[in-house]
Amino acid sequence: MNNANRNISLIIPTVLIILGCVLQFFFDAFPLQYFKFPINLIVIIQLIAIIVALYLFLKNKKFVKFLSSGYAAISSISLFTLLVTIMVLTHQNGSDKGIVAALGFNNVIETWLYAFSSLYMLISLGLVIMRRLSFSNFRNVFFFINHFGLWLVIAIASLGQADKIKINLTIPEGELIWYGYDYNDNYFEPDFAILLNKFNIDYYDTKLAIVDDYGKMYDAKMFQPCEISKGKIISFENYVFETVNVYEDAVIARDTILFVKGLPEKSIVAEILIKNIEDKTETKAYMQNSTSFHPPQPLELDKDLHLVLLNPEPKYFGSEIELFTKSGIKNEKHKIEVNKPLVLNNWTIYQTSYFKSPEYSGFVSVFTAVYDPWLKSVYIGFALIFIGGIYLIFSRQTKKNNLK
Amino acid sequence: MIWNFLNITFVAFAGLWLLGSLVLLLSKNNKYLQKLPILLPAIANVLLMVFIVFLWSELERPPLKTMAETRLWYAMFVSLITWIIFIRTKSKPLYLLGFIMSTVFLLVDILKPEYQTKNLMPALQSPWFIPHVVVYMMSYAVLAAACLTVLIGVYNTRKNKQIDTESINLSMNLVYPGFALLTLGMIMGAVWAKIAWGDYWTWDPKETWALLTWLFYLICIHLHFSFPKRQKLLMFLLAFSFIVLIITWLGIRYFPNGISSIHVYG
Ligand code: HEM
Repeated sequence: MNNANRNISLIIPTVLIILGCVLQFFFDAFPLQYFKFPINLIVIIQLIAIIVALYLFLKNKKFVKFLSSGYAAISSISLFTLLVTIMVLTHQNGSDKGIVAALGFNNVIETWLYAFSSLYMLISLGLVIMRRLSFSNFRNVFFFINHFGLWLVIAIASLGQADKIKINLTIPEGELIWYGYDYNDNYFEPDFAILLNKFNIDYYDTKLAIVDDYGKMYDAKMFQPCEISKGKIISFENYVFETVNVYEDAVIARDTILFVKGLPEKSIVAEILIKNIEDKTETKAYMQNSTSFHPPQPLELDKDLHLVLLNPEPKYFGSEIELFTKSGIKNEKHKIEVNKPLVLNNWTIYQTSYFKSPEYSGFVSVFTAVYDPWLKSVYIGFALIFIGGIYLIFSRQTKKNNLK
Repeated sequence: MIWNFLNITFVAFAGLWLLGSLVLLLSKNNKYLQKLPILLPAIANVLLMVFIVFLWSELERPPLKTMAETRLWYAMFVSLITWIIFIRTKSKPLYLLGFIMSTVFLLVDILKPEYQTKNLMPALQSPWFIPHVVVYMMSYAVLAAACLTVLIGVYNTRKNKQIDTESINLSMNLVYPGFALLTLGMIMGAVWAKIAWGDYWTWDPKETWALLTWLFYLICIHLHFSFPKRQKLLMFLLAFSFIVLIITWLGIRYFPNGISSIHVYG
């Protein structure tokens, strides 16, 4: 029996690999797009029905016993691990050619073999759950929680993938947009529209840095880029830099500063007083960061070192929007920020990025909207695995095992 | 700059551990001296924790952004976990290996400092950020201890020509919680990614490597549970899994697809 099981645990992956590669070769990628709702739901219900039926009516057959055993567990997890190993060792963007591409190894998750491997794991995991289905003690309960949670995640995340829609909406300030484009640049109209009232952005303070003649940052052990604001004093070797003032939305023109509203990038002018302690000289000068409209204005320190202003990094950005939905022309005001998406039925709308363009006076805000009707079910799976994980931290596994 | 105090912290940390190790190896049945190998590393660890707390308050954000910063946590957790396991098992080799490991990680920080700013890009300003990284660091530290234990097991097995079941059991006692922490870290990462970027899983190279690590430990656990007699295979797998873990953490940029990962930093 044991030897037979071991052989089956090797034969199944081998057969799946051969079958998967052959199908891949002749039919190309696995057609996941056919599994859109309600087909995916039907497939999941069928899968559960098959697993329950196999267990109820055929549980004494060798093959079913095998599938619910540790052999099948190791065999199915190993096959999946093999696929993930291929993924980490090759480029996964479909760029390779030749045999790698013919077998789909440049995009493993869309291969037949990946689908088979997931199915193998789902069936064996499902039968293991059936066999251990008992809530007589904590151990069994948590066994169920862990394994059923994983089952849900694998089944629903894979099959639910077919229903997912992801589009980008690019909205200039003050405009209403009701359409977007997916990754392949296909036009798509969701059942909502967004009016961008205002785009807000906040930056960290700009930083003063020292570079050499080649623009390379000076040794960090000697000087680190340092945020500046009015009145800040920084010392470096025999120099002291005092920040007299910092002006935002400003550029240097000849020897004065010009204030310009609506520049496409953050443009900053700093007035710096450089004191040389050794020869007791003082120089006051303006310097400016680099934008695509203005070259940087550094300050020379000595022959091969220069003071530069770095471009400020964004600290916060977000959009104030009005949302219009087709079902009832209600318009609601919302804020969408990084890490604070807006949830609307099965849609989630994210603040992705922003830019400025000469065509518009204000900012252009980029949103990503993701439609995923299966998200809640996947989260239930996550929650189960999480609870199971906490149990696993505190439970003692090996002692009981030694009794066997 | 708190970071400049790392040198002093390091010398104190390594010195205390070294002293503890020497006492552990040399002292014979002296009641008072025997307390030192436990007391000294505890002080060392508190020092390192204090350093992290000060760094945190100076940066005004959790020091978890750069590799150098995560190495601090790693050194702290390895040291802490080694200490806890030592109290329980009194294993001398583990004590020494844990000491060497945490010291080496601090040393790397001194030789390869990454001076950092306060700035945290908006996507990192999330309540999930801290638990996600801290849980991962804890998990890596526990699994490192598991790996060290199993290496001791391999050594003993070779020497005694008999499988060192005790080491394997000790190692597995660490692998279960270590694997569980890995699982928690992965789920928190997924939830965070969903909130910040819109997908809970994107098969980014670092994510894929993390999944691979998880899968290897999953195999270890199931092998151990279902085939307790395959101890040699288990020892090999445990050591190999840790190699995969180290590649996930430190090495993926050296692999063909690693460069494109959004998670590669430092
Ligand atoms: C494809 C995935 C999986 C399969 C096929 C599988 C299968 C199995 C099998 C066959 C056993 C032995 C149970 C018995 O003999 O009664 C087992 C035990 C166990 N598995 Fe899994 N498993 C999988 C995933 C997981 C995951 C994701 C976790 C944890 C998050 C996990 C944790 C455990 C634990 C803790 C035990 C020991 C159960 C106990 O002591 O009560 N497994 N698994």
